[in-house]
Amino acid sequence: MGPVVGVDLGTTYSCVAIFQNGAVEIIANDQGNRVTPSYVAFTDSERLVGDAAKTQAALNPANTIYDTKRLIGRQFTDPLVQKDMKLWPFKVVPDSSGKPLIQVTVDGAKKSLTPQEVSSMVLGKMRDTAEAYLGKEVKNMVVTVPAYFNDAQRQATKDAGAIAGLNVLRILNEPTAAAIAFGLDRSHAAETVLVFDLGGGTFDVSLLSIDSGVFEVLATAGDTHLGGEDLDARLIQHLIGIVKKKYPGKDPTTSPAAVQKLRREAERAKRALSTKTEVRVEIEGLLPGVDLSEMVTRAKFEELCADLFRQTLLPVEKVLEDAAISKSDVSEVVLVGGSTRIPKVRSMLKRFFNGKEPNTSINPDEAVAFGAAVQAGVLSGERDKKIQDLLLLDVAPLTLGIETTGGVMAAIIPRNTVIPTSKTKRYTTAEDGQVAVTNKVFEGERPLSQDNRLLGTFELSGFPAMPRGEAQIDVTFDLDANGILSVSAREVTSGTEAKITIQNADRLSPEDVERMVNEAASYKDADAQALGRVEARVRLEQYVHACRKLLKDVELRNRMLEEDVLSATSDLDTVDAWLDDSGDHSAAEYDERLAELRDNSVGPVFERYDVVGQLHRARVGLLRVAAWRTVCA
Amino acid sequence: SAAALNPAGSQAGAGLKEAWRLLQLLQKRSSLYEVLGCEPNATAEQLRKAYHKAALKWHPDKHTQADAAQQAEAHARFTELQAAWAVLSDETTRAEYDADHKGG
Repeated sequence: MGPVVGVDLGTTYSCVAIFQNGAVEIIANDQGNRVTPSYVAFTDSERLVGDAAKTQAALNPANTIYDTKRLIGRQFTDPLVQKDMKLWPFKVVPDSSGKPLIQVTVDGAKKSLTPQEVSSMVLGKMRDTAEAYLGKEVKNMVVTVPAYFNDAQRQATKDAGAIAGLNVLRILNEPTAAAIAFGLDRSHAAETVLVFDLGGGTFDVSLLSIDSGVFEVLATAGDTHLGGEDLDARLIQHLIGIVKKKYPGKDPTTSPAAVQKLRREAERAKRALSTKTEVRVEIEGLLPGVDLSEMVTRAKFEELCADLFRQTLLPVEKVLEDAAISKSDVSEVVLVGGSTRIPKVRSMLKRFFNGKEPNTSINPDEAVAFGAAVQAGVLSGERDKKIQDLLLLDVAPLTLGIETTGGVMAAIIPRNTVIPTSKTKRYTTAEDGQVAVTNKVFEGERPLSQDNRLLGTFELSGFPAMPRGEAQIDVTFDLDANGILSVSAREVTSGTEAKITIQNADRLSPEDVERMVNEAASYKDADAQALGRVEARVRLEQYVHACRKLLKDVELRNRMLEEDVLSATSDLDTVDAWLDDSGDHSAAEYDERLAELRDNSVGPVFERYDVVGQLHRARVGLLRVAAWRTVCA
Repeated sequence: SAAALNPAGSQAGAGLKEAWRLLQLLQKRSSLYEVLGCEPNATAEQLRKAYHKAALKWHPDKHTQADAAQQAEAHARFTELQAAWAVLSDETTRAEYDADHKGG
C-alpha cells in the first residue's frame, strides 16, 4: 500500500506526520516549518499553497483563499457563512444548488472553486511535503476533522482527498487523534481524560477512557464554528470601531487589503496577549491618510471575547452529562489547539474543574497530526507492539434518524454510538397495494425533524403490491468508521431488495469529483511549469554566481588580461540586470541566456585560462534542485 | 456502496452471505455474556476488560489487510459485540436483561 501519512487539515494551519520505525515524525515543509498555513493563492503566473500563499496575502487579498474549512459541507445561505463572508477579502458566491463557490481571477479570467477543491490543494501540498521527506510516492492518508463535523462535512473532506488523487483511508476525529498523542507512551492505570480542542476555527470536547492501549470515546460535543478566527474577528471589529471614531467617514471594511492588514495584526496581537498583558497594534497607511496605533490590553481582549470563552464550557458540561461522569472523575484535562494558549481559557477550565490544572504535556499544534499518523500505522497493519495493542473506539457525534408521523424525529443511531455500526428498523406500508415508500433521513438532536438537518430523501420501490401492513421493509443504517452514513433496504416477506435512492444536495456527484480530479491534474502541469521556470532561473543565477566567485580568485586574476576581466564582468552585469529588472520569463529564456554565457561570452574566456572545471562546483547545488523536483513531479 | 457495506445487500458475494447467516445463528444461540466472553456474575470492571479484549480482536480496523469474507465477519462480530455491550454496560439495562433471562 505504500506509506500512509496522517494529516491534520486545519482551518488556519495544517500538519503532516508519519509513523515509522516505532515513532512518529512530524514532517517539516520546504520552508522548514512543521505546520503549513491552509492558504491557497492565485497570482498572474502561478498557484501558491501554504507559506508562499500566506506571505503575499496582504498584496493579493482578493485571490488569496483561506478558512475553507468554515465553508466545506455548508450551504451558501448558512448564517455562519454569511457572517464570515463580511470579513473575507475573497469573493464567495452561490452555485445553482445553493452551495458556496469561491471566486478568484486566474490569468485574467474569473474562476470558481468549490471549498473541496481548495482543500484538495492544501492536502496536495501536505502530500508533496511528505513525499519530499520520504522520497516515495504517497497515495494514502488519514485526514482529521472536528469530532462534531456532520455527515456532509465529512463526506466533503473525503472528496477533497479524492480530488487531490488521494485515497483517504480514514476520516479521524481531531480530539481522538490528540488523545492518542497524549496516551500512546503513557504507562498509566485506566483513566478518564477530557480533551479540550480549541483550534483556529473549530471547537471540540471529547471524553475518553484510556486503558492499556484502548482509547474509548465516551462522549463528544462541540461547535464547528468557534475558534481563534472568531477571537481575531472580535479584535478586528474593535479596531475598525476605533478607526471609524478617529477618522470620521473612513471605513476600513471597504478595502480588502485594509481588512487583511487588520487581520494579520489582530492575530499577532492576540498571540502576544497570551504572554503579555498589553500590546500596541500599529498599522501605518491602513487606508490613505489613516494610521492606526492603539494599545490593546489583555483585559480588553478578554472582555471582547467573554461570551465566546463562556460558550466553550457548554460542550464540557454536555459530555460529562452524556457519559454520566462527574468532574472529579476526570483525571486529566488535555489541551489541544493553538487557542488553548490563551490564559483566560486555561483559568476558566481550571476553575470549572475545581482547581485542577489543565494538562499541557502535548504540543497543541502537532498533537492531532501525531495521532493521525499513529492511526495510519494501525490501518496499514504496521508490525509494532504499540500499534498492535492500540485500538480506537470512536463514536457518532450526532443522532441519525428518520422522520415519522407528525414530523417527529425517530432516532435510529443515537449520538455517541460506537462506530462502525449497523442498525436495522422494520417498516411497513400504510396503504393497500402501496409499492413505494419515501423516507427522509435527518441528523441532529432536536425532537422535531424540521429543526434538524436533512441528510437526504430516499425512496424504496420495486417490492410487490400487498395489503397494507403486510409488507415488511428492513431499513439498515450503516455508519462507517469515518462517521459517514449509507442506507440500504430490503422487503422481507417477498425477499426483494428494495431499490434505494438517496438525494443529498450536499454531496458531490462522482462526475463532479472526476471533473475536479482532471482540473487538479492540470494545475499539476502548471505547477510543474512554474517549478521548471524556477529551476532554470536558479541554474542561471548559480552559473553567474560561480563565474563571479572565479573572478575573485587571486591566482586567476593575476594571470588574466584586464580586458578579459572587464568583458566577463560586463557580460555578467548585463545578465544580473536582466534578472533583476524583468518579471518572470519562461524556462527556455533562462536557459537561452545561460547557453549564451556558457558558450559565447564568459565561458570561452574562462576556457582560455583553463578554469572551466571549477565552474562545475555550481552543479552540486543544481543536483539538489533536480532531486527535489523528481520527488515533487 | 450502501449495499456493499451491508453483507445482506444485493452486491454481497456468496461467502459474505454465508458468514452473515452463520453469525446470525450464533447470535441467536449465545447470551450477551457469551458474546463478551464473560460469566453472568462478572463485575462491571470485568465486563469492561472483556469488552476491550473482544473489541481489540474484532474491530474492523484490525482486519484491514484481511480478505472480504474475514472483513465481513469482523464487521458482523463487532456489531454484535456493540449490541451486547450497549445492554450490559448500563446497570439498568443489564438488570432488565438479567431479569428476562433468569434460569434461561
